[in-house]
Amino acid sequence: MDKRIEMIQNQLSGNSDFIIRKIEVNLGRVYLLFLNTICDNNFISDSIIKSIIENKDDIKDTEQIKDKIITHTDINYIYSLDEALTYILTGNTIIMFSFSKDILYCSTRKIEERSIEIPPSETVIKGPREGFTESIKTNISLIRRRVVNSSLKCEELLLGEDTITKIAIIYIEGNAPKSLVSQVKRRITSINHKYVQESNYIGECLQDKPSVFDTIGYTEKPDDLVAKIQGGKIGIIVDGDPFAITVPFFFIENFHSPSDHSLNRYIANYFRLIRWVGMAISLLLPAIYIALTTYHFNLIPPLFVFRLAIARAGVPFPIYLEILLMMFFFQILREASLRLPQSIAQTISIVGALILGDTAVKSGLASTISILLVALTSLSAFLAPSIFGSISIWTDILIIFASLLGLPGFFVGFLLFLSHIASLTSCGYPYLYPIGTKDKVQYKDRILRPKINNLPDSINNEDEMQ
Amino acid sequence: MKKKITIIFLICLITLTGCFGYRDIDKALFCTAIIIDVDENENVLLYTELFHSYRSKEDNSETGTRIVLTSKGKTLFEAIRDQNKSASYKINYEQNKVIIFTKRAAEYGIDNFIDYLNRDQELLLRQYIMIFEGSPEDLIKLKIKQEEYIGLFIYDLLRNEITKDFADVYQVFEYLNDRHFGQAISVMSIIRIKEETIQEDLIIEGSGIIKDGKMIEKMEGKDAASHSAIVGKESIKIINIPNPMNKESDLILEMIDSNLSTNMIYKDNQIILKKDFDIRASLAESQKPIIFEDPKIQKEVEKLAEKEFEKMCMETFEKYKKKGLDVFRIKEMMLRKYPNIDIENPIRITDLKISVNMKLEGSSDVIGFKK
Repeated sequence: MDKRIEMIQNQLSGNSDFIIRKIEVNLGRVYLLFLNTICDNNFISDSIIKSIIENKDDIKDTEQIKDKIITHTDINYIYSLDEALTYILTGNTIIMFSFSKDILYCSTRKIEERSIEIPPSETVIKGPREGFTESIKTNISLIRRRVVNSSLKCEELLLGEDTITKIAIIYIEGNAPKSLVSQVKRRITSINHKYVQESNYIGECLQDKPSVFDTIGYTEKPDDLVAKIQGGKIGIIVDGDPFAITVPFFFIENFHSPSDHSLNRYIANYFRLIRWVGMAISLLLPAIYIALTTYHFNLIPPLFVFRLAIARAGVPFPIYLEILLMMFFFQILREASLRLPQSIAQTISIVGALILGDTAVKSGLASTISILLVALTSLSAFLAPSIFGSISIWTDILIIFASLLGLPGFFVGFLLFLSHIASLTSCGYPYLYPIGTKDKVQYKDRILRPKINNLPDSINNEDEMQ
Repeated sequence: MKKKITIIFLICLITLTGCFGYRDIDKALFCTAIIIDVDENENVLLYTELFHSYRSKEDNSETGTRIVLTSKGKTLFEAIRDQNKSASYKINYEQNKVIIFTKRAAEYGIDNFIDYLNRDQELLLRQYIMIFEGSPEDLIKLKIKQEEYIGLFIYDLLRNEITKDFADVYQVFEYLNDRHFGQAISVMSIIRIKEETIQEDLIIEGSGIIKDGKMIEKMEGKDAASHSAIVGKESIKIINIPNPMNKESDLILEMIDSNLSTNMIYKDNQIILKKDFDIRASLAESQKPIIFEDPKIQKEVEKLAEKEFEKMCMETFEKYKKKGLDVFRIKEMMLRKYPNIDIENPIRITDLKISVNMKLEGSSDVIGFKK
């Protein structure tokens, strides 16, 4: 056997799906090397093997095989064995010859993939329902279907020494600021992970500063990604992950819903305000409750003071511990519901909520008002699911501040929270935009949704930004 | 620089927070009313009404109960300290709604207690203060059907819009201000147990005039309403005039809204205090038939009401002018307008000029009343 083939065989030894197919032809032997688990075996049989066998007596050279015998759009020469190995590992078929040093590759990749489904993390009331899949090819096609414009650029890169993951940087030339495009490209190409499995491997490298808040956006919906790249943002798709990245990402976007643009403007804005209120409740309510019920009784109406005192009578723990404990229980419940299969998860959440809440009160471990407060806080946090974790952590921080110093402590904690999010940037853009910055960006979809006529808006005002 | 400013700001926030202490809401006895009395030896007798929450050991349920604590001390502070000796949790005064001085304590001198009421952090300046005519034991033992807690009942009573019309609702901060202004005269409501009813009840009746911290006399209910109107707190709300179509019967007018503009002129050792009332009123009741839609009748009613209103105010004013009691805060007004002129008791040289512009705004759907 050819030494070159032996070398590849050695490299891929131990892989039962590695196939070497030999075909005798008039000039010698043709070798097909491929991994049958990630290749389209029917295509190899019908379009490569069959074509070569049918012409086995008339083969003159490799050029003829490439151009006239194998009729495939994606077939070409490669020039090293390392390259050949990579092509095999990514689902291509390598064609080698005993009578020539040439090596051909033919794209035969076929990986079983999910069909296009409704994205579970971004359900909409009205509007497009299709979501990205794990296939980068499908995902790009979903975007191209929506943007029929030569300015749409889709630059592909390979990342990950061992995973050789395909990354696509998608933007609209002219809409996306040039400096942003070059910055994103520079940062992505500087990633030297051995493995790039999913979008967060890229996302973490695009974070400007360590924080519990993601300063990059994730979306599972092609229409959402398209709306963002039309506004001058950059989309990044990673092969194998249905979540696309969008940069820059602003804090206010956590309160936007994919169906905002599909719904009546006033209704969409009403729900946006509810999401803001929900965030405020989940972040501030427990801390305010603790500050008022442990330090500032005089700020609570008298009848409510008595009610609160009665409700808490006999609870052995201090209020702050009681709240932290109940919030911890809720997090346990949430984690259990998330990790378990959906059918069991529903039962667990119902049983857990009922049993935990009811028995906690009956056993004197918690008061009814604390249960109500924790339930309200947790439900409110779900209104902006993308920042659920971040807000939960800051809620706990504010609780600690409020239990140490009452309302002044609460204000200190809240000030720290504001300072923190105001200090964050997303690819150089202020994360808290339009709050707390004098920078002007033509980005109109802020707290309230503007008229559709004013959309898509743009972040492209880079002279003022930089 | 930004970091330095933030650090300084945070340090200020943390250090300038006052003396707060962590205390769970169920680990406190909440005071709702304080009654201050004095005995023959001028010791302070303190009665406090408290709310206590606890978990019943019988049925394992949470509940709250009313507790009354009494104590005695040479000073108010001593009495309060003494009271805490018999309390399972620290008594919290932040929810206290009313401080009641017995008539005896008010005559002995409110100023003997006011320092602690002002100095203590838990006792808020927005608490109502008033005088009680009667025995404090009777008051604290009183069972009012409308509300279990006397403090909360009085709090609701004083916030009732109708009560405000005839009572001199007074709060701690007002007293603390008034004792430094003019002749240091304050007027606060007097409360008593209503004996002429089937059920036990409390009623606000008249006001106590406090001069230099001591109650010197009682102002009757009728005068209290006129006094409130003259000082601009509340207007007289009910005016009783003869029915123009039947002079022997009464016509009751209810004041809906009133605006008062005050002016003071000091000339030739004479003060002219001008009070211009602009009042909107409506017909509340007529004992005998009246054709109210008749403009002539309406005009006559307006004139009669203006006259009656003026008469009520003038009578009250003249009464206290004769006594030389500046309950209308004339000295304070003088000092504000003429800071260089110091007149010892300006009410004696003050003439009140009242002008009333009454506008009748009809009645309910029943515009006329014929036999």
